[in-house]
Amino acid sequence: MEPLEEAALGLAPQTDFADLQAAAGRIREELRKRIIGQEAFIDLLLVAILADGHVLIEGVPGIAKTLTAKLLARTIDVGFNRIQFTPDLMPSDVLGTSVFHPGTATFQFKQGPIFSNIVLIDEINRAPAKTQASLFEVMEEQQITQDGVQYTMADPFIVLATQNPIEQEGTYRLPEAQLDRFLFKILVQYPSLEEEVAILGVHHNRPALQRDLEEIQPVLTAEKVSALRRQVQNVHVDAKVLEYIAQVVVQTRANKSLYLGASPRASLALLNSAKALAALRNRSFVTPEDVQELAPSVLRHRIQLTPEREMEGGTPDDVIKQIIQKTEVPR
Amino acid sequence: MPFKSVPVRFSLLFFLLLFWGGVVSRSAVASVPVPDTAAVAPLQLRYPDPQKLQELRESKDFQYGQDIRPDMSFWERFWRKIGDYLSQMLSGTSYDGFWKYVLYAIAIGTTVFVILKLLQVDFVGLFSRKSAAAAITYETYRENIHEIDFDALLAEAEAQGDYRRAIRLQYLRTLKLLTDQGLIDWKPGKTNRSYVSELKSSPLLRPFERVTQLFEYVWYGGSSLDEQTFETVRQSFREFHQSFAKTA
Repeated sequence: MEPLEEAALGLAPQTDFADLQAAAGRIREELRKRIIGQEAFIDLLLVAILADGHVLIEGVPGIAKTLTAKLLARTIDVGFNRIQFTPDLMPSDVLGTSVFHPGTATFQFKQGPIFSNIVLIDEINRAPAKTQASLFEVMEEQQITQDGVQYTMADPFIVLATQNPIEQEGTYRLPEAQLDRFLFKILVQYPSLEEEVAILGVHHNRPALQRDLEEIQPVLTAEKVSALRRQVQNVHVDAKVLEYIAQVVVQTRANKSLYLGASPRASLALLNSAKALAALRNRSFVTPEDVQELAPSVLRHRIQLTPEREMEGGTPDDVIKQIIQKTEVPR
Repeated sequence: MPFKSVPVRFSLLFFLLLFWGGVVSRSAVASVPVPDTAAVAPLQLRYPDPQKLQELRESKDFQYGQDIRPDMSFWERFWRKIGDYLSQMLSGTSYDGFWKYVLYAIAIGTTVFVILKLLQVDFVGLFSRKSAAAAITYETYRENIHEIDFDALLAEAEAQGDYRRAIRLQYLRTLKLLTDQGLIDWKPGKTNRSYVSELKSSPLLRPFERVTQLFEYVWYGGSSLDEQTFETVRQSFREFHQSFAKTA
């Protein structure tokens, strides 16, 4: 259902998202130069940027998780760092460490690769819990405390992390506290047959394409991202929709299939991302539709199935779907 | 022949070491000083404290010949009594008494169930901590579109100038019409877009899309409505109803 303009409906227009629409369109265009398909995945990444959230991207190897994240980072003209997580990675390898400077006989803090605007953490679940825990403060508070000194991250600060499904060899389950800090967990699916044929066709004609990222042009600046985020904050959310969000999240805490329900941080994540999605669809208000659409990505990593449900072959997405079907849409 | 001389050499070395070791040990023994017996303190016999010994003899922890039950709390005594009672009842030769008590228990249970049901008590909450958190009221939105008197409520809302409520009632009436005709499958958890997609092959798709968007702008978007705008919106609903009448 394509939204009509408010004026066309005979209603007074409220917010103009022309800028945001144009920026999102240009980012999509840039990504389409290299990525075939994965439209929903790209839209969720855009929502995350507008909602100021970190994203966990999960999928089997070889489905362009890392490539998409890298390309998205290139479309925004800000600092970009990539960290490859390995089993022997230490917290200081990520955050930085104090190094003794013989000239001045003082310790100087040497910033780690986390000090950037967009940080791509590749295969995040290859590092053990000790290293994962080092990300808690920076992901939530966008700051690092080292030797009693606080270092604030530059705005925007976005962590895009990729991971293979936990059943894969040599991976660790991420701590719940860390998972909760990701706005979305996006499950990247295999491309369809048509998309796969198109991928093969493109790479057959241009074999060097795999390595060449130069053709991707920056579309947004840091200031522009901040301005778009401010626009998103003005999206209207009716009290009925707020209550609907709360009902969906609260029901995860009472569901018999769940051992761990979603936190209030999940409610906030659902609210902020729904506002960004509404703006991305050129709407100045959030509908229950937005909430339903985003609920799986916001909640799937924040809930835990009971062992019995897990043994029955259930998935978090099944339970979320059931909760959504059960919760009455406010009308 | 060197291979024959090797054992002879080893034997000589062995006896030499043995003899030398004996000489060294004798000289070492000779150098050890003999202790002075007068300097060694006499042996003292020590006995346990008789009072402590008596205490230990009287302590019930050490009365191995007697079977002393450990101290029990009130609840442990209570459950032990229940257990003794049940085992006595079940180990009896006759089960007449047992079945009588079972019947009593069922009767009491049924009575309690009926009373709690009449009082609308949350049963699950009696046995589970989680259910307390689950006690959410959904009454706010729990409306059955088939039981609403739309004409009366619409007239009331319009008379009061409550145009947002009037639009909502118009939309709910639209959903009821579509449900009654079997064009959509009404379910409380479905969104408006779900109903739009159910009408994909119907000529009502466009008019329904329009009233849906109007409803969403007004109801979720908080759009302000004056009388003139309300009239425009109402006209869209009228057009939908005209299309619906033609289709039906």
